[in-house]
Amino acid sequence: MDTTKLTIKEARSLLDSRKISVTELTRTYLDRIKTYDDKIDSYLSVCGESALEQASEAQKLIDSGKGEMLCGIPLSIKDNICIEGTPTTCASKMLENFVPPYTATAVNKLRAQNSVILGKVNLDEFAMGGSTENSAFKKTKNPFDTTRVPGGSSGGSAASVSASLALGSLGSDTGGSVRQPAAFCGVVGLKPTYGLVSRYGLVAFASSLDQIGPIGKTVEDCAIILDGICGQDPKDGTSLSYEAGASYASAVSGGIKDYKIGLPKEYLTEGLNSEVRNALYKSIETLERLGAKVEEFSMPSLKHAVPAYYLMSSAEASSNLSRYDGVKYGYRAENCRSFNELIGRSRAEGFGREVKRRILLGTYALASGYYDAYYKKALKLRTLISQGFDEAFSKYDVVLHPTTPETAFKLGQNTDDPLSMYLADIYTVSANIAGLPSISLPCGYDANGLPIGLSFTGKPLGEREILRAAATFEADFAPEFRVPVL
Amino acid sequence: MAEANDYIKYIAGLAKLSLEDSEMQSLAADMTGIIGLMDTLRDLDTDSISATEHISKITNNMREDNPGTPFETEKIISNSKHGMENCFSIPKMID
Repeated sequence: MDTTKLTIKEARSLLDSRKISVTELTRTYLDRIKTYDDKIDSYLSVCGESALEQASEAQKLIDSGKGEMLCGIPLSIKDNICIEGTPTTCASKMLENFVPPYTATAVNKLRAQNSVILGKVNLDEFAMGGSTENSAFKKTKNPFDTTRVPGGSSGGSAASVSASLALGSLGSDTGGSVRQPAAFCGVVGLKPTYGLVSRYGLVAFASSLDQIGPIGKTVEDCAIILDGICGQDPKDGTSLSYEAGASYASAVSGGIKDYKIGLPKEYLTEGLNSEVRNALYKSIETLERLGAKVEEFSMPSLKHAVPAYYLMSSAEASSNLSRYDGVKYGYRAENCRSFNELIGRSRAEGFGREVKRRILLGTYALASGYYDAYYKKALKLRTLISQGFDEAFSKYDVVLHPTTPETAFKLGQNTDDPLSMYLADIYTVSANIAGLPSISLPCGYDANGLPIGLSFTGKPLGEREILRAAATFEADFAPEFRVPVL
Repeated sequence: MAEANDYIKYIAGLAKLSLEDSEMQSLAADMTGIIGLMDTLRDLDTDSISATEHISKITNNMREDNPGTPFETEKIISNSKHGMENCFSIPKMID
């Protein structure tokens, strides 16, 4: 069967009408992984045997008429999300042999619906990076051009969905790590409101910014996965209590007539590549034709979002990653003569270069004499950025912006230039700083045929508004939508 | 540059990263550029702005104090090659 354009919704229909069995569907994806993943390198581990066992259980439920929306749907999971008994490496030498004793709540929820877990996918080490080149194990390639990066840090998730090596995936987004790779790989990525999805079992990077989010072929597929993983969790004290309402999947219809959409002027900078800019303006014309009103507004604090984000996230990372000391789990240096040597060498040998940069920056920002000038200043910027969005959402239903300043770059192109990698996060970090939901979807292709991403950001718990805007745009864009040829 | 190297050495010590000299020097070069970007915030007047540590409005998220099932000790110890009698062994700390 051709899975390259298959969506979760279509697979549900095929499974429920018995046109295909869960085992057949799962085997199709496992076969594709075997055939194509050597080119893409998206998977760190494939759970073939357990996936087929899960497929068999799912089929029994479907046969008894008890299959839920995600029952029998084959998914991949970013390898910083714990599954009991399955290695969870964070693409780091530090956790190369770590086998979690528990499962993340988001994965437990997927399994409660009898989703099929195909395997764990690659990422930048500890989710720090925007190209998946920071993985200690392999470099994932962009399915649209295997000489280019898939983005990151959820590059394995986005590439596996784009290459149809999974029907959907869970990624994590601390500063754009679901949305940026989704944009680079021509798929849809959603970062939910902070607290909508439990972080229990997500290996911590920056706890006040991290959020698990779905990647899918369509906006509706992302909504379906979000329905499956959201909800308050007693195991995560920051997970939100909220009125559930109708499903997110049901929010995709209804159109955007009379929608008021804001476009921040500060995002229309010189750094915005001309082809991405043209795709943005073309998208605005589409949205207006579909009945929305789009207008520019100013939010000066956005200019400072990148340094504020890197200070906050690195400070939290330096604290969170202090747990890796070579004692209870993780890499342990050999032949250490003292406890201090054990910690210092285990960390120096176990962490990669980008993780060390972030730990150093975060330690610097929190050090005595620098705290006020850096970390506290960043927290004040967080106040200004949140207030700026509050004001914007008093006028607009959603905020529109490009996902990335450029399309996917060549492997190795920015490896020695961390600063330019950081600056490329300009359009995504502010949603994490303010805890807002944001979705990226394809809106065009550049002259090299590389996908261009468009983002809608919403108010807190405004997932329905952004899903509806994105789905309406997506339906109009459908004739132009492309899948990669492997 | 020597000053930057010394400072990174100090920060690496705080972060418990025992870096080799060559790695220290190349990371110091990276950090100079990165801290330059962070310095763009220093001149902003934010005296009247309060700091937001956490975006969540949740305070004191309470739950019933029901005892749960603890992890099995063996399972926890199994992630270390240096487990010993249900404990983790480390190099001698006190002479």
